[in-house]
Amino acid sequence: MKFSAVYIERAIAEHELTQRIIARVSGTPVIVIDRYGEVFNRAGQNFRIQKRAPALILAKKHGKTVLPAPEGYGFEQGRGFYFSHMLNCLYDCRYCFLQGMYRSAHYVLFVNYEDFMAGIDAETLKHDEGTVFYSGYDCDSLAMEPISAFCERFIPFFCQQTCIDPGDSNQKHTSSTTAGFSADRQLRCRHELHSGSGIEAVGA
Amino acid sequence: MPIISESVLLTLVVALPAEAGPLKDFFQLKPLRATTNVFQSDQGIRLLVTGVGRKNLTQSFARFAGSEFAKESQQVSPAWLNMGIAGHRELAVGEMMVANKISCAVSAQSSFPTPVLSGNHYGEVLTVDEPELTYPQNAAYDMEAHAFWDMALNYGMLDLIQCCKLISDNPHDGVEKITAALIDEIFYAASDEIRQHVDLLRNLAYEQQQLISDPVPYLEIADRIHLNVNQALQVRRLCQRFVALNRESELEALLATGYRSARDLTQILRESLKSAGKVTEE
Repeated sequence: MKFSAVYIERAIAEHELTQRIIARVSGTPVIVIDRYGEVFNRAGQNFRIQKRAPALILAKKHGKTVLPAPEGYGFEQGRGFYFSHMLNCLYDCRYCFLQGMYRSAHYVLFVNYEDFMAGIDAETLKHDEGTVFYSGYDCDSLAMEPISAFCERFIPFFCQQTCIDPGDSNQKHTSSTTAGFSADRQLRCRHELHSGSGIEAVGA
Repeated sequence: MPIISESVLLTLVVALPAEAGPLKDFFQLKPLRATTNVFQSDQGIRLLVTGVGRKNLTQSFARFAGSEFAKESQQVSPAWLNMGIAGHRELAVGEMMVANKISCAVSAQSSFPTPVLSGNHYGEVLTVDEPELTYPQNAAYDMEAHAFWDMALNYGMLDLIQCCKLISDNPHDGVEKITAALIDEIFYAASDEIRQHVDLLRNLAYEQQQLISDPVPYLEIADRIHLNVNQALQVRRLCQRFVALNRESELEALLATGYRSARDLTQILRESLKSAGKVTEE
């Protein structure tokens, strides 16, 4: 996975995941920014030009990290929520709404997973019935796994937190959408799934 | 590599006549009528020599934008490239650095050129009002880049506004050693890299122009036969569909077989798209 540059928000420059990603993409120019919006949200950007050599933007998600899914949009397991830890996708599928949804073709990765996890916990505590958490509607969570370590962090989180009793409705499930996921990681995930994390990957 | 239309213009911006000299030579640039600081080639490259500092650059842009020539010109310049010398704490004299961040020392504002150019060195260009002799930051020190960015945004396409600096001084070789001959030398040494950047930006600009302009087959048809407004809309749309489906060669073959009228032509094009199951009714 090659990026034309890595932009890093000053606030998360020392974050452990940021440091790990920088080490992984060594040799790629690193540019320190204040807020991801000053690169990602600028007017007049050209999606097609940027898509030829996209950059990775590492940022911190502020405010509410977990949001309720629209009414009637959910699984039977319970109330639906979604979170966006990443914006844009490394693929360029003709049919996909992500082509041009944002002003920029660069990828934004919010590295403060701990805040997303806190948000998930908070929503779960608020609801007695089961809860379903969607991730990856603004990205392809799993395709970027070697960089984002999304499954690596969230599967153990869900494993730890989920009550595995099938008769217990107070469970957390998460669903990620992907157009591609490496075989070796799929196997590892499947192993985790069999451990009963309540996570499923949905092929796009 | 596509054949680039001359209507795709790239504007090079430099501060000093000494920086302009080698570029005029590389791209066979000639003075533009009634101007003393604007040069242009037949190949769609323009050069603006602004003078040193943010104020001079801003005034040069304003003067040029207000000139008779700029008002009359049909050419737009989506691509802008600021070339020039700069000082750097670590890079050797003669090295080229592609700017991925342009900051202003006075306002502390930063801008971020889209990383489309590739080079050996990338980094921040810090625009100062006085020559910097101590190089406190690991950045290229110049006197125009930030003003260039602000001004070029008014005329160009954000992703095609770029800045490259050639290192002219560092802690070992100070500003006092900079001469016109040295500038000449480092520009000539970097000529291949400069050409590469210019070609890349022009190619990108050309591709963008192609995406928004009428398909070439449509223009040929419009030249050959009379189309009323409705027919022109239909034929343009049908040609765009062929192009979008990567079936340009098929379109050319259909046009080569001939057609009696505009009505006949729209029928042929529609049938062909339908037969491949790709057409959707208008």
